[in-house]
Amino acid sequence: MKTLLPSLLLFSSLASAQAWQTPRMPWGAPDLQGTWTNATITALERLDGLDELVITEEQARELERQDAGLAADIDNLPEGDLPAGKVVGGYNTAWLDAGTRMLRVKGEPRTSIIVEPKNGKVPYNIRGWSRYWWRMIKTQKRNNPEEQLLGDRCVVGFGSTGGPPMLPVLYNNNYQFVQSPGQVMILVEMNHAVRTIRIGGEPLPEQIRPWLGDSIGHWEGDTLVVETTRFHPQQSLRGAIKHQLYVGMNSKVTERFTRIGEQEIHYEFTVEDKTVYRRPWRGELTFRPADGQIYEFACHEGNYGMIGILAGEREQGVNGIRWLFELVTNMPEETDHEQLGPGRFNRKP
Amino acid sequence: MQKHLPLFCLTISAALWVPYKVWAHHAFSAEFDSKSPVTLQGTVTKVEWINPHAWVHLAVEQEDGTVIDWMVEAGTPNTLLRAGINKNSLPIGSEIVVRGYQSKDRSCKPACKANGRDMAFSDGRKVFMGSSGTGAPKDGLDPRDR
Amino acid sequence: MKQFITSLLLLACSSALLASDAYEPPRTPGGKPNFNGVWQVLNRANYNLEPHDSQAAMAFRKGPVVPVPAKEIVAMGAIGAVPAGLGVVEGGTIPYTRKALKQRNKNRTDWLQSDPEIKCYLPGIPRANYMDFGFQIVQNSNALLFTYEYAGAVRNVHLSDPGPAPIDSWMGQSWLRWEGDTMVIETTGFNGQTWLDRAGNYHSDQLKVTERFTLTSAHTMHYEATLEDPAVYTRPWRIAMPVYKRVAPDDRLMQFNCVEFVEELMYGHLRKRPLD
Repeated sequence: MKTLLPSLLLFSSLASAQAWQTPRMPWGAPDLQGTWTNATITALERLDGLDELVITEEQARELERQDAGLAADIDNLPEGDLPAGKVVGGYNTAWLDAGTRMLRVKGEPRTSIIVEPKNGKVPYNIRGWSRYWWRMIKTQKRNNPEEQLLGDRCVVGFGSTGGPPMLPVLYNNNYQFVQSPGQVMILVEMNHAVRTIRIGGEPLPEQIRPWLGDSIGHWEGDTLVVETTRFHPQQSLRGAIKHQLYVGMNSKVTERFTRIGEQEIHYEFTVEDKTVYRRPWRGELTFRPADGQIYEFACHEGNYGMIGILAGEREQGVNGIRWLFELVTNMPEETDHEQLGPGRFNRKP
Repeated sequence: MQKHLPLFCLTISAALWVPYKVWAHHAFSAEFDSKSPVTLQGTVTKVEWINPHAWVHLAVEQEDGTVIDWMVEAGTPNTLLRAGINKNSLPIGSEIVVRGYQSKDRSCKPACKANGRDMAFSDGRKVFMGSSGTGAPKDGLDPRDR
Repeated sequence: MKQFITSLLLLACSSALLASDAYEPPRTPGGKPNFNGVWQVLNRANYNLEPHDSQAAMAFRKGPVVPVPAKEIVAMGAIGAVPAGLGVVEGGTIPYTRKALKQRNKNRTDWLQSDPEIKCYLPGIPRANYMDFGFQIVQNSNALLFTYEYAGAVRNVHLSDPGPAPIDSWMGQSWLRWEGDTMVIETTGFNGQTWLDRAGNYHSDQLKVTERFTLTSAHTMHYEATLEDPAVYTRPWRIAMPVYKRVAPDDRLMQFNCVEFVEELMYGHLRKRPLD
């Protein structure tokens, strides 16, 4: 036993010295391929009631337990008819895929995807903030299809699921990476959007502004650095239950993808725009293998919802002050979903 | 912009007053009527396994014997596909109970619409079981899963 | 004797070379022919797979002498007109059953209301491949992706047979196998809501498409597709056409999301203040 132990120690240190090697494509670039997911309990902005970015593993597990309980509440409705006047949305949890674990970045539990600024909130300036709210209010008016949330229009997915930056929403948080020597393609499941990242090259002419922007990548060592500009002017407001984000059409998003393990891609991003934010802001996420393949998400072809939204408003909508009154009185139910919103860990019993 | 200035100022002040928080994803409250909860008991006549929402069509027999066609909105089927569900998983003729809210649009074309907030069999088992994160999700349709 | 043997060898080699006129394509590191690139057809198959003359429009109304373009189209003038096409169907016409042919003709008359392309719906297979928009093939040993400029359609091709599709879809479920240097892709699981072209040619959800892609030169490939659908056709039938590789600076797809372009068409009547 005395001689066995040193050799065991030697063996284990040799094993760890055999650090994990990033697999490579035949032309040498790191292999990021596969179907990955960024689903996580942690949201873009700091969860309510939590001040620090980093929490302990025990605290993370406690939040995961609470979240599992809240998820069970979604399904364990009291018997009988549903109550009138409550939040009308949602379905049984079988349809959701919002993540069951807190975000861990390189093993460190995080309470927000945002790492800078320190308060974990998007640092809008007055101009950015008022543009964000103006667009948001317009989505609540339901007068025209063009003013609705992009996910409701089936133009791109909800929130910033396609981004960039690519942020998790309630479901379809799956991304497939496919590489060829001059490109990296990312198939975003929601709304079947394909991000074509050209390695090297010039941005599109200024007049051309595609949905999900124009992305140009280059390798820095084993990290894929992607710079995206030329955002579509209507892609500024990115609304979802999990996060609300305003990114200006002249914003610049820089993403960094690094494969740090067999089952882990480390993802960092910076968003810059002097007309919208007080300062550039940064976030970090982990992509893990998805629970299966990506399936077709033909959205527009089955969009009964848009008809329902507009027709419903035409039938029962109200105007002017009455509209404003209803908007404000519905607010406590509409904001911060009871089981899925960022305030769910901060409720007083 | 000038024309809308009074309304703009009012709404901005209202927005300042309310918590600066998340708002509704998907205009549920525009599409469905929070004042009209419904409980529908019926047989499945068709399932549209589509995005962005699957729709389950059911024939609901009224007390007077007439049958009304309803379609209820569910989530994205893609999540269920990854859990092993397929287009045969909710057979036509299945008897289910749906609780939800009727659409504001009452035209009932092609069918009366509701949000399928909760879909269950008459014994209370959910039509599609959620994954609790512990082990493989079960869909509740396999009679061996008791 | 040496000279005799040498000439015999030379003769044998040159005839062997002449006999094998198959194109030797560049290969991926995995050894397969390299289809990576942006491709587009130069024919008019998307207007009508069958041979067709040029005509004033896709939809008509009665005129005093000849049919004239439908009211909704007449303002487009020559831009709304249809160019001629030699046709890409082997044998000339599509072998519909009698009942299916009636439906095809009805589709044709109802084109403006019924062609899914008008609503920017996903085009399905094989139509996506011969639209007037390019498509990109991204191919390596672990993946095969087709992305299409029109409507951002995408085909994620399985590298082995995954069995029956769990649900129906617009673009179907595709899987790849190789027959020598030919890429063979089988697609099933269609929802039956796509058309094959603008002329009302269609299929049901029982459609099975078997495509064969073969590189024929540095900038061309041969594409053929066999369509089988017992609910609509009396027998399997085939289309065939060359596809051209786009060169720089055109070797990239632009974006044609197109959903936002049809909102007035589809939802305009539900606006608070409809325009009409």
